[in-house]
Amino acid sequence: MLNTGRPSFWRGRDPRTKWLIFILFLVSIYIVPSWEWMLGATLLGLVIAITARAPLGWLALMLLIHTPTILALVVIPALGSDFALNAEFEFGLRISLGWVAAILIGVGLFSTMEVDELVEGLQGVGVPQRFAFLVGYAFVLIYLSVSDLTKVIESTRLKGIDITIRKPLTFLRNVPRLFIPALLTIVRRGGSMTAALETRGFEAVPTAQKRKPMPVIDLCLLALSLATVLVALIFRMYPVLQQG
Amino acid sequence: MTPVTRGHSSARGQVQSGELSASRFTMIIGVTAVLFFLGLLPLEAIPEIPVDIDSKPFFIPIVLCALLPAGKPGVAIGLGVALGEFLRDLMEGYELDDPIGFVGYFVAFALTSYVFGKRPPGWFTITIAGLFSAFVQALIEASSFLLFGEESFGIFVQSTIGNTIMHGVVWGAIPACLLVPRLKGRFERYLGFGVKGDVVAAEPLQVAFSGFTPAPDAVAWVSDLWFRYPSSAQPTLRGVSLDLRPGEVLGLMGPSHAGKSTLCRIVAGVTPRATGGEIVGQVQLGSNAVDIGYVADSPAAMMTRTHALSEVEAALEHLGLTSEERQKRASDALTEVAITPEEARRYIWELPTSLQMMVALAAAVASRPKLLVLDELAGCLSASGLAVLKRVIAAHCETGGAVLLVENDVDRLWGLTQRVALLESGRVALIGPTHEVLADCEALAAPGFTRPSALLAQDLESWPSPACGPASTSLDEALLKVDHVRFGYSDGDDVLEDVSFAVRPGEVIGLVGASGAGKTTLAKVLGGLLEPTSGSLAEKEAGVAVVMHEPTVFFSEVTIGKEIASVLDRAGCPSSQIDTRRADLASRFGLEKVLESDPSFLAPGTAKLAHIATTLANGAGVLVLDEAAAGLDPAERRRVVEAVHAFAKEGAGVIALDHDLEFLAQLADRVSQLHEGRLRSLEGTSEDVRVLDEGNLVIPPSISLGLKRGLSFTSREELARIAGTPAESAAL
Repeated sequence: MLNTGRPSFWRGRDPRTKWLIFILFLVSIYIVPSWEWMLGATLLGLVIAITARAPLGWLALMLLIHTPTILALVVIPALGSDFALNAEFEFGLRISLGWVAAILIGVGLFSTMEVDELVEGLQGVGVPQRFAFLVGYAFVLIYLSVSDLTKVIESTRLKGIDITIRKPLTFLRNVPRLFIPALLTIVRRGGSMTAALETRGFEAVPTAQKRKPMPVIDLCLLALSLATVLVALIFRMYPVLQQG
Repeated sequence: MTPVTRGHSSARGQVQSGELSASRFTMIIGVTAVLFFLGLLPLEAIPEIPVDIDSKPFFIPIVLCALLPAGKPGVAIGLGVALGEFLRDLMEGYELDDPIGFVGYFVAFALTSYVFGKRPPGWFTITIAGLFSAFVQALIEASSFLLFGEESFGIFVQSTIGNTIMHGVVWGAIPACLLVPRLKGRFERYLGFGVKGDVVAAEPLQVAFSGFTPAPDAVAWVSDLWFRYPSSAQPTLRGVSLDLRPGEVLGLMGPSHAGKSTLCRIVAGVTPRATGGEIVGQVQLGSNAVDIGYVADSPAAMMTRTHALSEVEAALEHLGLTSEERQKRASDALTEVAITPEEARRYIWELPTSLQMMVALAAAVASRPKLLVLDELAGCLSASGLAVLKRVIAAHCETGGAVLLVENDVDRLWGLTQRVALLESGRVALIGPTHEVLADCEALAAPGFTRPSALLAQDLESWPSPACGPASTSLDEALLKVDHVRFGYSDGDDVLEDVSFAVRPGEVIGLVGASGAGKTTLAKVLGGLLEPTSGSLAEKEAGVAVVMHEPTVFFSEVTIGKEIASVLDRAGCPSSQIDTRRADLASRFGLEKVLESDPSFLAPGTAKLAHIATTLANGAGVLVLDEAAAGLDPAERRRVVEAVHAFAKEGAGVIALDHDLEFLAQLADRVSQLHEGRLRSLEGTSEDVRVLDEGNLVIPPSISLGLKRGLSFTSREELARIAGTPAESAAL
């Protein structure tokens, strides 16, 4: 999980605010009209990542993974116009900056939330309680499954099966011996999971939760984000409307 | 003397079929999401091909679509994949095309299931399904680029074609074609579905009337109950009738595969809603519907929230309480089961199994149900945990509630229950007051149970006679020497502080320790999974084989026979001898009838026996058993004891790590205590018992009884001589 646990400006914000800003930011990436606007969005993402005290190593890794795509979109078209993609430099720059902005904002905001806050925030922005619950539940399942996987790997090693990649052919031959029990161990949980949901009253209608009001600073941040998206939308739509 | 009621088959009522309930639908989403997410992790390391052609484990949803029926399960698979990708993004950060990609995952797999879900899962169908799902998903996801303007059309086409091939073929159809034959019949059964195309010659469920009359004030009762799981030809329950009375604990005992857990699930209202299957008979929850608290035998799988407090609060959400009331009641329930506020703040997965069990118990009692269904949870508890359980049960009964307690330890049944039912092959073989059922030598002998120590301990004389003593006293001949071994995990104090011992040929050493004493860590060190921080291990050439306490994660072949053969083959056994050696191992552990069975569907006890048999096949000179007694019924325990003694007699060494002192006393030549990272030799005196008690270990009544008669508990020779008298029983 991205959560760093570090105190920051964003850590203290209401989870609903963080989800709504994240959604608005994603919308804005799709509608901003030019690469200059996208550069602004990227810088804003950078500010959020810094003020959220996001894990820098992780950010660097994520950007590294997407380097081939960014290279293909920006650098190669800049070198010659007869490249197979035939994408224009400006377009490539806009879409690449969008890619970077999405990573910055995502890592930045989600590194400030615990699992329970993620779920609370989702419920707060109107996601049905059962779907929001599923997100938290899936995290529990992932951690428990990782623990199961560790046991499967240990069992495989105790059986004397080589699952290191030093010998690639042996590794490939032995992977099913690791993979099959791993899959079965996770799926085997199905019955108990359903039993747990049944006995925790999952089928019953839950009591509606009373939510606390959003702090003023959060409301201001939301208003600012919404205004930015609306302005971007106007600029994007203006040429279309003019033509109409 | 109250007459003991003998059970017999009968049935009445109506047939129901398991349908896809909301909880089961959610379970499929959860399982798919977790599998897809875990599949994504290793593939993330593969660099993308420009632009946005990446590696995703499409084979997982394709396998699920191929094996599960079309319709609602397909919708759940689609939602599960979208959720898996969403979780990855929450953990790693968002990519540009992800929001629209979620829609793509859902549409692609819901459609794939709808189009291909009704067909038998052949390689051609799987290949087409793989291409189809990948194309639909890639098309929708790549359309997000079009939002940037018409210049992106080239990227859109390239990404769609590239990902169709990459996801649909490389990471889709090819691995799915390899996996489906090995998973067919397993996934479906675990998720509560029948196998496509299989015509099961099912034994019909009988509909008859036994005339069973429950007590008028019964909190709950079942009458003439038959049940069969999907894909299973034989019924698991065959005409079970029993009632649960206010203020009473009904113990449910029986050998593996008797149907105890199935009966619990039906009484708890979980089956067949959660599992599917056919049911005939009546299940009544008293005159008014009662809330039921249910704790399954695998507590970790019962957890739905991240922290103990929220887990217990979740069980109260449907009661219409205010947030403050819920928190108060949840805190009280956690206090009742001795979970500290600090433990309640930790993540659920960081808690040891015994505490997870306590959280599940707190969640079960928090809603103040009339009926508690507890499926074999006492076995893994320490002395303090057992005391908590007794207190919770007593408090529940005082308020007029009833308890159905699955338990195979006759001593615990003796102390905890008012009535006991013995279940065998899905039938109630015997039911009546505890003191009468547990005194019935004839009925208990068939499934291998002894009578409780508090009655008479002469049954102990029939325990295996000491077959092997230490063959040598010379340390030079030791098969394994552990010398001042120390080990600590990176995030805490040393688990093993200074452990030294040696195992000689023919010797069986018992190391007893409570939960958290370091038994599993020591087993891992002995097996070479962990490197000691300091100290050394010296072993002879034959090596060390370890049986870990969870057999379910061990098997990778489709049958037990193939599993044993595969280990024999790797151990260098000549192919001409494999069949003979396999038959020998199977007969030692009574596995002849299950050699062709899928290990995934064995009862826990049988799986444990198969695990030990398979481990012995590798020809190691030293066998390490970690909690080998857990989950075994009495007959299976005897088999393990006999097989281990036979193994030792052949000149091997055995180290048994367990919290079950009685099991170790039956098994080992000498017993030491593992406590706070050090070994302490035990002489079997009252002083030792005091120390063990302080170490949070459960002292079995048979050992207390033996000590009263001046007998040591550290050797099975002496334990076998223990014979109590009714007067001593009364004293206990």
